[in-house]
Amino acid sequence: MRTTSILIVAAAVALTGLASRAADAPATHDPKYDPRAAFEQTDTNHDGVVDHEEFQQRLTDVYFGADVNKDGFLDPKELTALSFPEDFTTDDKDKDGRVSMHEFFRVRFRSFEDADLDDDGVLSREEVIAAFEKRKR
Amino acid sequence: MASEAAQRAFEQNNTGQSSVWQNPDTGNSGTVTPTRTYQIANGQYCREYKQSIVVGGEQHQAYGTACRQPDGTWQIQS
Repeated sequence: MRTTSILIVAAAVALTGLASRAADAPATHDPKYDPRAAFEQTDTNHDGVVDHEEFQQRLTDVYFGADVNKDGFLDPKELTALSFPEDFTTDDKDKDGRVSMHEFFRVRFRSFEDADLDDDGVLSREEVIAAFEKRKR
Repeated sequence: MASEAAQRAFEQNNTGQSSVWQNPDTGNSGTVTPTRTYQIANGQYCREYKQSIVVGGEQHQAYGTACRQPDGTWQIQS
């Protein structure tokens, strides 16, 4: 469970380059993907760590980009375009067949805590890279 | 042209990604850049943005918020 969550947080931070069109492949599937570059882009205030606000803004961007029809929800097809479609059943708490932004946040923020190995409330570059490396295994 | 660029930026651009427009007739140009995205209660998306306009060689900047309407257009709120 913890491993799954770490993979998700890596994907969330990693999806920096996710474009708004479904045709674009998720960045985590790109062999040229660089988690360090993703970290730099997520760390918008450039203080060397990703805090909750930056993480939420990243998640919002990922969610908005994935929501191709812009109906405000992610359906199974849109979720499949992300790197972690297996997590759909976990996200869809109310079992209505789609994932709201609130549901998306709830699961992802739990994964933030899992990736925060030293429990200091922020993600360092090393913690994000470690999560990414675990995802690759 | 500016309006089309804005609609395109709101609908398609990632945060921080600019859409550029230029009017060859007037020489005016500009960019529209979403700076923050959020949802309001009904799942409707809103995006804060920065707009830069060059008119008569002078650059002006403005900030605002646009929200997506059910018909797919984005309406500027402020």
